[in-house]
Amino acid sequence: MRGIAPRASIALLATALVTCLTCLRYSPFEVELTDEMRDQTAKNLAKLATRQRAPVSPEHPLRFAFIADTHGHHAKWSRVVDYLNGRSDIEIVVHTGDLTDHGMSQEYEWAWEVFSRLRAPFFAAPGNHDGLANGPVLWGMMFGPENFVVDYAGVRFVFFNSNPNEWHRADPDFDWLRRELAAAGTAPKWIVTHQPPSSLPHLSEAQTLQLWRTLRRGGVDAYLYGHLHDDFAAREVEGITFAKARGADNGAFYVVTTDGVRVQLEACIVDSCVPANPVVAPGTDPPPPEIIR
Amino acid sequence: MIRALAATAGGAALLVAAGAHADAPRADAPPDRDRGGWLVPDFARLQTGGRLGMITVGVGWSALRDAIHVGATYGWVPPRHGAAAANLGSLALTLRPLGFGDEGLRVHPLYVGGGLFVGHNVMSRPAAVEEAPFALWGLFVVGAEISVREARGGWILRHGFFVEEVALGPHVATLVRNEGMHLFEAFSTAIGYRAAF
Repeated sequence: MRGIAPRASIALLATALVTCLTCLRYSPFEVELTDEMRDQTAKNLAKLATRQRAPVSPEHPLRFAFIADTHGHHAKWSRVVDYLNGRSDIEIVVHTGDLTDHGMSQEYEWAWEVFSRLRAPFFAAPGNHDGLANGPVLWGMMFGPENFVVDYAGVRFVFFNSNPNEWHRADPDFDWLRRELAAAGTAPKWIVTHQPPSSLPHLSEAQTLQLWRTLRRGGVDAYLYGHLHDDFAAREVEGITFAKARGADNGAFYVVTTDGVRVQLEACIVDSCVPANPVVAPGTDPPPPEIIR
Repeated sequence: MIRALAATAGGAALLVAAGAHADAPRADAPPDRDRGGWLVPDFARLQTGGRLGMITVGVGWSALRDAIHVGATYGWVPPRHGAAAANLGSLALTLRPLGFGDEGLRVHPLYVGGGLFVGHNVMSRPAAVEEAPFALWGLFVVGAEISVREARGGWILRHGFFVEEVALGPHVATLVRNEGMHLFEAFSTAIGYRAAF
């Protein structure tokens, strides 16, 4: 018995170790995602490619949901997903970033568990929090490029990383933005990004002016953003509709409808939506104080 | 996790039982014998997992016959998938009022603790932006340990095998804010060895 017990105990300990190795996590900053969680942008682009869709027009308006800053509020976001899945008129869902608080893989996993339930294709722009720690690596694994375009229904959605600090970039990639806007020709151009068009200290004054000039010269129709976690706000300045989503901590999001020219917004809280059309402001350069934060 | 805990505890118990039969308990071997005052730690740990490192070493002090532990760890995680190596630290106080057995075999079926976690230099960024250049978060621990007396004497007094569930502040915050999340989503398993001096 005395000879068997030590061997049995060592065998059991070894079994425990091997079993445990599958559940051990070594670091909050680990970079581990399953294949199912990876390449979400490419997978959703493939979904869109299977659709037959006429170009956007008054006869064929485009309707999509726009949400922001869901980090840490997965339960509320999950309720929004339930609502959106019940609406057959939502063609895509766009997210202006901050899916995570600290750029941790566990948070990316939690976010994926929610947005992967969406029936509509889902596309996200990076938020500043998504770039913390090893967030840029995880973003690349889960979504792919941080800057990308989605051409759908004759509209070019430009998903743009406007968070140079957390993503360790000297500047946002304005050259890429200019190229993609120019390549869209006369198609409606919608920017989906995290930072407001003026956002010290996340964007310097020089970067703000460069962004503003790029928007104007690129013929941008709309600029969707989040980051601020305050109330809904929408304003049309020099022909560009700026729409700020409220933080999703209370289940807030927009439903956006466009016929290619006009933009109609519905401000929604979980399953209740009210019209929230943009206020028209006189054109100024640089951007008016209302959108400087 | 429960499977792993049970298997580890079972294995350790068998190991301990085999050793405990070999010699009678030493009367002069309290579980937290103090060597050299507070300057010398009362125990050292080697562990893995728990989001505290792949290879984690630590030292600590015990008091009140092993009912209270204060310890610090340093953990290292190698670079992988393009992510930088991580240097992780923790400082924790654990309360272990539930302990039974004799000097040969002691079991702490449940202990709880809390402290601080530091993730060094993994969030480095320009100082102009609001977040700190390192992670400093709360840390919560629930664990169990089986320890056996070292029969041959010497510097090490006891060998302990432990399993801990460790949760970091941001994960706990998310758990609290989101109804319906599973408790174990916030926790991660750590297993290790503790040598008491």
